[in-house]
Amino acid sequence: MKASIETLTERAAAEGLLDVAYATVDSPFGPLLVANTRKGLVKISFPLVYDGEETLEELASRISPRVLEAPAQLDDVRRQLDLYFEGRLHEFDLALDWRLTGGFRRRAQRAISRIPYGRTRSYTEIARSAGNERAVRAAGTACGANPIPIVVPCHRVLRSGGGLGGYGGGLPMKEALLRLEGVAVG
Amino acid sequence: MVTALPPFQALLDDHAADVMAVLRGAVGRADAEDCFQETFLAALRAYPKLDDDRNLRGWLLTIAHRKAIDHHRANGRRPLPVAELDELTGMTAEPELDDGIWALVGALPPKQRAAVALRYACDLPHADIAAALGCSPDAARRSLHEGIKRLRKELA
Repeated sequence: MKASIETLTERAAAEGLLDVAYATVDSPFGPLLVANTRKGLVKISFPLVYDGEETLEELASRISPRVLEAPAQLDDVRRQLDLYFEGRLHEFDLALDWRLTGGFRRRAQRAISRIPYGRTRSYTEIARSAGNERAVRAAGTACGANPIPIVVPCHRVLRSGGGLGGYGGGLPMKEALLRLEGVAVG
Repeated sequence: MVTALPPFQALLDDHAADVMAVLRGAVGRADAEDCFQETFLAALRAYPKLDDDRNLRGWLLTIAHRKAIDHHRANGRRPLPVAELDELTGMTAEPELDDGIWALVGALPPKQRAAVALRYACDLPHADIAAALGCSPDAARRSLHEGIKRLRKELA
């Protein structure tokens, strides 16, 4: 049965019938659910304390119901995440699909994606980069709504005074990621 | 009607084993794999436009049924290996269903043929057969009844 389903998944991908491929990737924080479209990485969910099923349903309704578990389609993502968590990769080289976000949020998230490894920015700086310096709160919301955390490093966005702010994966994870990158925290 | 279709993976997780069992029964173990691939590729192709998600199992089994018929057509309608069906699925066919009868089933008018196959090969209840055929449960029951009556006559 497993082999039949693997064959099916490969054929679906080859015939253009696989719109969203997903896999689970181990991380020091627990399993991450990662998903690709033909355009690139579209979603990373935080460790599956959140319902993985809910994430898949969101992908099905917002992108396409042709959602299949296809780990082979995510080999590159998995490899780069592994290296990142080992501290051996500082810059992801992955095509990103931004379709789950738009408007100010997307601009803010694109600004976040340009923060270099081991550096931090304030919510105000992100708001400014996104075109509205006063939209600090909205910048915070954009961080929280980041569909591709870790790769789009919203953990590098802190309060102006240096406070940690928030994090969808929980503050201990934010702290651990910053430490991994050599940022002095707390 | 706007319905959120579940991720296709959920259909695979829930129904792939049943589809495979039905296909093994319908076309034999050797050819079931091909029909399985054809069934699910066809389902994937049609899935985003599916406007009724109330009976996804019935929908998949109907596609499987069509693929099995296509397969038999391509192979000159040889009889279906019914014995294997029972062995593999634990489904019970009517006692008088025997080797060769599926050739007669294949010769029934389309609605009766589908109703009989969905009932005895796919083990679907009347409500599911109705959903799969797009008719009322009463109409499904009638098609099934007519089909069985006709088979009995031919076998008598």
